[in-house]
Amino acid sequence: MKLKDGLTLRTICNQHMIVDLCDDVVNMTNVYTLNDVAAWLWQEASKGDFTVDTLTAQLCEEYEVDSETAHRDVHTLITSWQEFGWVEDNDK
Amino acid sequence: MIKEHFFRIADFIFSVKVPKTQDIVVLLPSLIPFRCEKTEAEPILFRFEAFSDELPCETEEKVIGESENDLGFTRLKKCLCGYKVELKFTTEGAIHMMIADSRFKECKAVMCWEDAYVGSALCSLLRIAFAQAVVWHNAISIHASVVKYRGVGYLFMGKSGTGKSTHSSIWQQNFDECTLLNDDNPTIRIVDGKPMVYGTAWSGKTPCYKNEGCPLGGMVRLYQASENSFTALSGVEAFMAVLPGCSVIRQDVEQYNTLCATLTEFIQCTKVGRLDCLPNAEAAQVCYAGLLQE
Repeated sequence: MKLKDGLTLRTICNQHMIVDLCDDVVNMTNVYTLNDVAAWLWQEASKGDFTVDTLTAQLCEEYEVDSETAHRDVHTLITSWQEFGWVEDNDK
Repeated sequence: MIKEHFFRIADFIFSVKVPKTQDIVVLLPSLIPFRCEKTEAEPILFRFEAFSDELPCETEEKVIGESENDLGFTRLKKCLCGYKVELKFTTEGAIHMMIADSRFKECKAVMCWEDAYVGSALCSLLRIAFAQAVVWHNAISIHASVVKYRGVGYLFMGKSGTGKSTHSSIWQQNFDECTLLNDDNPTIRIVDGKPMVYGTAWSGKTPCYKNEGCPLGGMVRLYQASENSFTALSGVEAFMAVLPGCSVIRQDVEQYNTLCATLTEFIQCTKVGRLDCLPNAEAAQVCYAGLLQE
């Protein structure tokens, strides 16, 4: 999978955020904040194709965390990104 | 015969071509303080041509926005070459049209010159073109009221009816030599790393068309409340307080991202706050003290 085009991670006074134009008709904008680890994972994910497994491996290399916890946390994070519509499957 | 006029707003120069038979002073009174000489040395923000000829036929139009406000009734369409704006000043009024490229650098309009509101319509189309064009140049056209006090600009935002203009009046009544810079649609811009605010030719119902700019001392979002209190905002909270007032085409991902980048810069070099307020003198005192303290 890969991240949807047009979304940019912004860092503003040490806070990370994604500004998402969620609706085509209504003038509504959602702003989401990400913690440091989620922001780091976003940057890794934005480099190209990724899976829960590849991000888990990268997370374990960068941070002091066991692979089981890392996998669970990455899975939860990616699931929420999918719910926001931020992730595209490769076969689409 | 066509005549080209030049204007400078927020240090951006743009040109407007209208038929020679139209008296620009009568047609666009609010732009007259911003008239300038033709310049070869400086870049032109956009060129606007108001001819009476038919526009080229555009296909694949998609309506992406409609609104009714002091600009009149406007409809924004995405078309092959960029954007098409349709505007009428009254419900039964004539429709004026503008076609622009996706960055509003070249704008062509068909005006109904016999319409009694043609000047207002042209002024509104220019406001739309200006607001969209500046986004690409580290600037933002913002819905706000601004006062100038001791050489510094203070900008008040809020939903319509919150009391932006009222709050500006209170500052003027309570602080010596505090003046209104613009009451509806100033332009903010980062110049040499410093936030600046400028008066424009568009000021809502208040005729305040000042060709001047000053350092921006703070941006405050107002909320009606039963007592006065100021809260300093930073980071994402500050970003979200300012974003709703910024002029941008939300469906244009590239433009929107450019605006967000500029706004991120502003947030990091400008004081931002939230003022819960009453329409009284204390509100201005609390607001100013809050901005100074931060």
